[in-house]
Amino acid sequence: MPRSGLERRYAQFMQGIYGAETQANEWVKASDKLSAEAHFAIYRSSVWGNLSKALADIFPAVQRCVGERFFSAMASRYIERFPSRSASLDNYGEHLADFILGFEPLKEYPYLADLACLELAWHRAFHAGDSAPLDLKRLADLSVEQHERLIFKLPLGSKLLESNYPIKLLWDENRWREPEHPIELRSGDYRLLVWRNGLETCIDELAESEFDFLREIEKQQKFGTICTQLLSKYPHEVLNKLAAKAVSTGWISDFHI
Amino acid sequence: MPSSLDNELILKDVGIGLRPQHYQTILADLPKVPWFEALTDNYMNDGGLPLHYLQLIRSHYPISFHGVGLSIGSSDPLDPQYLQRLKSLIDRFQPAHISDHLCWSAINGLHGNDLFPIPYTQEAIKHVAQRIDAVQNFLGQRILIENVSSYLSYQESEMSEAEFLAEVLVEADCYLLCDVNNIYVSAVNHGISAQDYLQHLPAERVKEMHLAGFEDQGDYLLDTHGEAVHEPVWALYQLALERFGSVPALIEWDTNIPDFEVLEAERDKAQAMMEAQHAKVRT
Repeated sequence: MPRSGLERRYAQFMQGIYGAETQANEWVKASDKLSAEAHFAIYRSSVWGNLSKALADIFPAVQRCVGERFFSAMASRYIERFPSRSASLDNYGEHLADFILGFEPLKEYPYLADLACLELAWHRAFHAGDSAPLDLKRLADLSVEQHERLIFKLPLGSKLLESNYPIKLLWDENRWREPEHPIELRSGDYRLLVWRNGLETCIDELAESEFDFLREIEKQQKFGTICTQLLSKYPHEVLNKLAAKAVSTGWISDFHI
Repeated sequence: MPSSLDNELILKDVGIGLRPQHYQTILADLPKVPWFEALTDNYMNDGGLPLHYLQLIRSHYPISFHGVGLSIGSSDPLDPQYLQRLKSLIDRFQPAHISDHLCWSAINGLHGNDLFPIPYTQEAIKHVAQRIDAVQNFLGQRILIENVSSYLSYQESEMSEAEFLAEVLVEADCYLLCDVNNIYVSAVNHGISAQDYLQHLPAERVKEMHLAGFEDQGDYLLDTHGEAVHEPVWALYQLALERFGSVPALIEWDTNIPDFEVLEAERDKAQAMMEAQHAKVRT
């Protein structure tokens, strides 16, 4: 189907926004003050500025760790590779963690990709749908036989994360302000749950047993299957305590059989 | 067509653009502001604090919805998910006005997340009017379309921006959100008369006006909504009041957002001008 004049013009415009030469003088009027290219450049600059700001808004801790100038330069490389594909700037930046992993100037800072994962998870949990509180009475009314077939659900927008670096500490120190003291990055096994408790977006540090338990719930395993799988690693009473804590903390928001 | 503007008596006088920085102040003080305008795209997520605050503020004030993501001028198909989310928000919050911009933002799946100008051609009038019509049919009500600030003119344009706008409004049978600041910015950037622009607009279709500040970049004006309303824009607002009457107006501020009192002072100034004009007409 032949493209309309509008479609051709828009495609040419967008090509110019994201990198290719537009030859704006062929379709934009020059004015007394500005050339055709200079008129068009106002839009390109605006788009790149908006996308760079969107990244800074979603990844403020990463920005503080690398500094504003470095972040801005990195954002430009990111925008080149990942133009926006959503009407909402809230959806921009989903590839930033992978991008950082492959970004040569940051190869000595492997924790930054994990920090970016944490920030994206926080952003998504912040905007996730509201989960109703767990119906404790309905849960209490279930028979023991039904417990085996229970499938629990984490609150909407929840995300389990593992890292070799203390990314929650990095997040705490850099999210809202410049850190006051140097941060010691002790490598280890760090496990987190990012989730929404009502209106509050939370980052909970998890013990290994808690992480294992919630990961099975995330996979939508039946409670009986979870117990069977984890019994080789944890005794029965630990599993019972894990289930009780998951319910009382709010990590479990719903269930079905 | 049933119109959200059946509710237009709810929106009177001069309102203020709702920004997250002011949620707490508004809810604590319940200031005497007749209505707030919410940026629709900030509330299109599934849940969380923004929607919670909007619900609280809605329980105290009338609101209008103002969007940036419709991309009404694009040649991509209208985004059904975006429209459905917009409709759900409308059903939940019952805004008095629903508006977006006369521009395009996306093509072939690539988004600029910005307000790009449309070539002012007959082809574009037909195209945009059909899309506005489709949106109005989907929402079951009329929408308002806002003139954008622009920084370039296409060589193929066949008419002025004001003529284009006026024809789209009639062809689509929609209303105009007349952004007075945007008229001034575009007029300076393109070396045209802002007063002439205003004179070409169909007064009967103007149902809301916007006021905001721009930044002078030397060779052009940039519509940043980051400063107080400039004097030439106040002067143009006076002309707009004389031509369009006391339609609801709004103070917008999007960058370098100041304390709420600063917005209230801007609002009070616009309100005083509106009331003075109203009194003049009555006498």
